[in-house]
Amino acid sequence: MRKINCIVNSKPVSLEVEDGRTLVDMLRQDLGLTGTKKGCGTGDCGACTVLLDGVSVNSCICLAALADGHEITTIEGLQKDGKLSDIQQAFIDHGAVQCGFCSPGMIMSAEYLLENNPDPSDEEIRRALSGNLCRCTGYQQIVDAVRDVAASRRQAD
Amino acid sequence: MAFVLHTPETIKQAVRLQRETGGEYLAGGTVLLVRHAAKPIDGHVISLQGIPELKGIGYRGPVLRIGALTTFTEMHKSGLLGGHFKALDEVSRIMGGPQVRNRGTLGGNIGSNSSAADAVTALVALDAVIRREGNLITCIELSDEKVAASAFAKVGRRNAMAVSVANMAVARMTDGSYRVAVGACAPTVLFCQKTSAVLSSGGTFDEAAQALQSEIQPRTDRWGTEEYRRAVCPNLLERLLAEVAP
Ligand SMILES: Cc1cc2nc3c(=O)[nH]c(=O)nc-3n(C[C@H](O)[C@H](O)[C@H](O)COP(=O)(O)OP(=O)(O)OC[C@H]3O[C@@H](n4cnc5c(N)ncnc54)[C@H](O)[C@@H]3O)c2cc1C
Ligand code: FES
Ligand code: FES
Repeated sequence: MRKINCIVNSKPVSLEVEDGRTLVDMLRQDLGLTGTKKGCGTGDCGACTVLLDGVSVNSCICLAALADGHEITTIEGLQKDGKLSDIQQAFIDHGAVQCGFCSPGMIMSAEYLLENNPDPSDEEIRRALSGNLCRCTGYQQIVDAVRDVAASRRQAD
Repeated sequence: MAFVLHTPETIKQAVRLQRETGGEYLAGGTVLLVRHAAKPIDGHVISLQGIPELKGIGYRGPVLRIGALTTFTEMHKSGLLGGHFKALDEVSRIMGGPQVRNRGTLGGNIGSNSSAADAVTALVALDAVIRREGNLITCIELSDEKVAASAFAKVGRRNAMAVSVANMAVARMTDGSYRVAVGACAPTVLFCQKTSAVLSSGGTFDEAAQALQSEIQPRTDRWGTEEYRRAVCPNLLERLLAEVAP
């Protein structure tokens, strides 16, 4: 066991974790942040995607112990004052959520994309989401939602 | 049982810890922690994440030095691989998916000991120098003076997040010679000595393709068949030769 200090969704957090504990288990089981999903547990599906220092990672193949001193953003950290983020709202508006299991990871990947590329082509959106599997939607509504958010963020600027 | 994690801050400490504990190095974890998920690793794990000396990419004279802990995203974003080292840039752009490229490192690709490690194929074609301290890979060096142009391509079951069924890199060197490397078509990534020699001495494409067939040793596995690999390799060669043509 070791003590770690990190920032989770803008709040400082201290806890004890085992050396071999994965970040996704820490988030879900130790911190109760069950918005982040665990699908495959082996880096293949993207359901567990979170931002680590602003960079998208699969939290099922990251160690909790190595989050010490770092900043993590999960799906719970995107809403502001109880209001859904623009991407979350667009997923609902476009019917991009069916069973919803992929949605948190998908939305974190979309967030990472738009932070780094405010004007992505459809091809770039698809590539940016290629590490996230969805077994329900067929992806089109997800791509539409992300394209829409990109356009309205650019308009707002 | 789970492992004991060590977090050294210098190369020296890491090498000493490895020697003392017999543990495994952990870079981005996209291979090691996948293995841990399947079957918990016990013993010792030595994280390299806290060692700044292992990070970064930059020129020293004509030599591009890439720290072993540099991620694929960092390599591609650096913009330093666009020119002659396009083969490695292409790997950095397309391997895995975004999350894997954000975490996976060049050193880890070499350390993964896989015949399908995409970056290794590129590094073999580029005649890269791998520097070590003990058994720790510290950096990879590419030279402007050696490589004129290069290209990489892979074939997988899908475009993203797929293990290579076959991958290939071709480099045209500044002295006019060629270097061809192939992955996933032999027990290790293969430097195609005969194919490279044929191309370097001005042989025809058909002669090169024949040499290629004589030196690859593809097997059927769950990703592709031997026949498919034999069919796809000359196609990759043709495409990549066109890309590196003067
Ligand atoms: C979903 C998914 C998709 C993938 N797709 C691809 C792909 O398209 N192409 C591809 O080539 N690979 C792919 N991989 C495999 C993997 O991402 C790469 O091989 C990556 O480069 C490994 O780097 P890492 O830093 O994560 O390695 P780690 O998992 O940290 O380490 C891998 C091995 O290398 C050793 N090691 C690490 N760094 C060093 C060092 N500096 N010195 C000595 N030994 C070291 C470790 O001890 C370990 O044995 C994929 C993996 C996943 C999970
Ligand atoms: S649960 Fe992490 S990638 Fe599938
Ligand atoms: S909505 Fe069900 S997996 Fe994507």
